Amino acid sequence: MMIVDACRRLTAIAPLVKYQYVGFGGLEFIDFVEFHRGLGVPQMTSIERDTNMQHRLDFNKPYKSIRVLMGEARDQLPQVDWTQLSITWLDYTDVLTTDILRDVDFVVRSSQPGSIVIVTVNGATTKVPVPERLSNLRASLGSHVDDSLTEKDMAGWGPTKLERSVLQATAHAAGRQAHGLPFRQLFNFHYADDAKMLTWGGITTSSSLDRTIDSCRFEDLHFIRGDDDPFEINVPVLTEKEIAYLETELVGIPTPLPQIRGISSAEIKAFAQVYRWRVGSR
Amino acid sequence: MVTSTPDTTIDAGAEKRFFIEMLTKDIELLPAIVDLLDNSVDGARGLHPDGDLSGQWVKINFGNGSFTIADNSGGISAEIARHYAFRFGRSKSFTGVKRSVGQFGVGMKRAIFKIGNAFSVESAHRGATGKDDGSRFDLEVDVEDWAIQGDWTFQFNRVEENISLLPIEAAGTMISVTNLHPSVQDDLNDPTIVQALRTELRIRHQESIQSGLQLFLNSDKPLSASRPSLQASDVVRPVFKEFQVSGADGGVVDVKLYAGTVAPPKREKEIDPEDDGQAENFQDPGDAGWYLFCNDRLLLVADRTPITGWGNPAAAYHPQYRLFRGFVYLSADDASLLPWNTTKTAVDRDSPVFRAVQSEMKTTLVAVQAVINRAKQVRARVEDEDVKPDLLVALDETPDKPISSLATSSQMVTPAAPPPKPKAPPTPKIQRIQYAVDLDRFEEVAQAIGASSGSEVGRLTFDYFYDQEID
Repeated sequence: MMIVDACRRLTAIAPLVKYQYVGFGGLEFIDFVEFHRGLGVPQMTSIERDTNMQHRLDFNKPYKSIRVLMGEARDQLPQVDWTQLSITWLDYTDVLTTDILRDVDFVVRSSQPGSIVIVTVNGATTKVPVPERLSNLRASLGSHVDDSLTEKDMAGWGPTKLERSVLQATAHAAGRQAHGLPFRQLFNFHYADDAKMLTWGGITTSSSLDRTIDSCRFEDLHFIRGDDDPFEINVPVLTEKEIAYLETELVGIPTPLPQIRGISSAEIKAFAQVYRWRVGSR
Repeated sequence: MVTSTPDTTIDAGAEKRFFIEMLTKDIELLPAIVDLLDNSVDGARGLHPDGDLSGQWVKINFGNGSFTIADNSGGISAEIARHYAFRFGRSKSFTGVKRSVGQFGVGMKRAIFKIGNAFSVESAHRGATGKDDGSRFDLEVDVEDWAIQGDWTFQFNRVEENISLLPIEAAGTMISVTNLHPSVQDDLNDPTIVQALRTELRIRHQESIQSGLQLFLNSDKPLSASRPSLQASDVVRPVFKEFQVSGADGGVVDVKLYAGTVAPPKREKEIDPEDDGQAENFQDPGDAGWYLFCNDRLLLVADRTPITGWGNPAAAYHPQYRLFRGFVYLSADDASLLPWNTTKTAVDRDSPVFRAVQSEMKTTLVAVQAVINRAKQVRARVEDEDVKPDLLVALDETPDKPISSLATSSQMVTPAAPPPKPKAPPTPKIQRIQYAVDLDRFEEVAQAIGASSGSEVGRLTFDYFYDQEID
């Protein structure tokens, strides 16, 4: 979990136990376990929209103290105690909509400066032919879509890039209004499993905190992205033996990179970027 | 040789007529009258830094072609009148009343020009010590005559300085406007406009009325003001946040923000729950929305527009939110820090102070809407035989309390919504078939298919057809 790794740097702002985690845990609560194990965040809240899952959720939650709020994010987010520092991950499976933007706006405004906000959305390309992508996005995002975009911009990751810019613009404005300074983007991950996905996020800041955030030195992490240029998580399919070999060779990232016959150097480079986080499954 | 210097000066003076027109063009009659009242209220507040306005009064009377406003707010000293009070625009060297409403130095003159073509001002001022430093003056102006004069001056009719006012003499100001503009004359004779004015004065200055100011409008009985209230009890706590926002030049604006719900009107509790969704669509939004006060003068009334967060990021107004009320009080010693425009009819959206406050209003609105939404969902799933959930009891029965009695709370606290009951597993969709056949043919089929009962024959023959023709 690269994001957990980045969040460790929040110690420059406050002890990590002062942070709470807010997420959409689902039945598996994977992110909750990662954030608890990785950061020791004690207080956690999961929001679940499917009210039929209540009993299974209560059974499945890995830590008894996780507070589960049942209902739409929009109605449940205000119940979180936003006077505490927070790491909030709004992990949607849907394409970005104005409803999601409202949730993002609310969380960025409500979060204390020094809090992390992360959003995952579908990259808006699945099963949508290129000529329909722009009009679909205009229908769901309205005036947030830049007028100058054309269908040509909608090839490949185009719609996903548009989603990122709309998310950042919303957070920028909300951060400026609520905390006096715009939201600082840290994450812009592109990855594809079944569908193209975007995980975008960053940190809320204020004039009194901005220098402290500089001292977190997030940018030292190679996957931090403050702009439109994404970090692409692209995990080559490798065998156990290949992975074991590459891991033994990679530490210290030597140049030239180690080689395995039959595997392209681009794939090895991609693996080298992510191997520490075991992204993807073996 | 004679050298002549060319005349490099260009006349950029203003025609008074044009000036008067521009000044009065963008203000309507009602806000102009409220503006006049602002001056009186500022005077009263200046006399009582503790905020208790008991004993202070303002009387507005009109009819028979004249309009008069009189107060006992301390009056204008001859010196202030000479140098500041009648200037257009506030002089930098004038230090006004702390926590004042007046700020731009145009309100009184603009209002007078708006109402009529001639006016008089009488004022008595007691002075700082009350002994030989008081003053009295009066002046009369015919605006038409003044407009054709070159000078930007008025003349005192009579002025007395270094006097002592009698203890019983009220120190105050009376402004009379005569030769009213015909449209103003008509408006002031229109009962609906007079009613609107009454409401406007009562609402805009409700905080000062609450503090003891007596405000008379063509009557011996002072106007009463409503006391802002929200539902509050042991189990319901509205939002109440207190914070400060820094304005320009190191000035500070104190903010108090209250938001929550009011008790539903009696009749509403009896609405058939089946009908709820329909009925609420026809309900009047009434007083729902945000109220924003600047130095206790109400600027936004029942606002339900995007400027206070409706539709962005909160949900747009819908009748289900009709019980929402939010009250925001901004106060600053220096009125220029407050986000109002010169007519005090709208907020200055670009003000950084307003933006900071607006952000708090937005998140608070989302939070209160969420409570209302949760209650609505609970209401929709409660069945007749269920005990009424605490959340609904609280929101239906909790009475309103004046907001001045509230304790701070960063969130709206209510009883929790009961979790929805998990739904029963879906019953498979079935279609029953019944038909009658000839008995002999039935027995032949029953024997051929190896079945004994009618239902068995029916099922097996259906399956046979399905296997052969459909599957």
